Amino acid sequence: MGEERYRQKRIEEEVRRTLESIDDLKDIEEGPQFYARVWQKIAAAESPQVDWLSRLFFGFRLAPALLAVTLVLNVMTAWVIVRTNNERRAQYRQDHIEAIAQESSLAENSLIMVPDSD
Amino acid sequence: MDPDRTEQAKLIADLREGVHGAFRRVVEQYQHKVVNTCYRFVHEQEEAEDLAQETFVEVYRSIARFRGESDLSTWIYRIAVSKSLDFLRKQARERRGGRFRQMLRFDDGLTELPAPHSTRPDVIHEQRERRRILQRALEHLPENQRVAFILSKYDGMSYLEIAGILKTTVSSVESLIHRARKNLQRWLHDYYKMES
Repeated sequence: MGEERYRQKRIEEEVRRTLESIDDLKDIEEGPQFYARVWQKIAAAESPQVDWLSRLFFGFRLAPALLAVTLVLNVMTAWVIVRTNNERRAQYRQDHIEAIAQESSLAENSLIMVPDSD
Repeated sequence: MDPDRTEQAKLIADLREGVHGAFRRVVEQYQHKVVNTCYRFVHEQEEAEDLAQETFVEVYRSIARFRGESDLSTWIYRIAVSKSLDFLRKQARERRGGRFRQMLRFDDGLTELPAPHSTRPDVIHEQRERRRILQRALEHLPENQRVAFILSKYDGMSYLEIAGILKTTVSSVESLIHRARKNLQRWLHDYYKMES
């Protein structure tokens, strides 16, 4: 019982002393360059704003040009693809015709060569 | 009209019009108090100065929006308190992130907080230790109780000034401080009980 009371008293003493430690916190002195640093921060805060504004401004101005370039590139790509396909198709057709022509020519020759059975 | 009020009205008008030297006067008049208000919250000189400088940057940028409903000083301290609380919230978020990272690394976190009772006998260390424990206790208070308590006990502001900063009544401030003290006592009691 006595030990418990002693423990409680000690806890209360710790609580009291810790709460009183508020008074130990002394004022601090600001650095001599305080005002200059405030101005540095104001300047720093304003310059990114200018960059941001300029980015926004140029962004808006450049957006139509960028869109036009993208469109032109897309049209050119589509044109190249279509043209390549057409060329391939024409080449394939030509090869096919030539193959047929060759085959039919051989057949004709073979017909000539075949002797009349009658 | 109150001469202080007239002087303040003139200073605000000069600030708004960008009169040379007006801003410097404001900074020089309030810098010490603002630095120390921030210091009561963050307990680190470098951070406190940084927050105080941020406070004056905000003053510079927002003076046009200041409607003069409260004293200039109250408005400045309100910005300082707000900046300090933002800093503490950010710090708490980072700490939570740190704890999560520790969990992922399966770290036991024992290095994060030293033991409450220092084995070192010197008084300075003991005071520092007590302040650290008190700061932990303060972190557990609801934000409005914490602000009212710090401004009153650490900063020595009057209930009227605190009511102005918190935009509340004097009786509310009284109640906040009373509850803050009770909650702090309870937290500290539990803390020392656990440690004993």
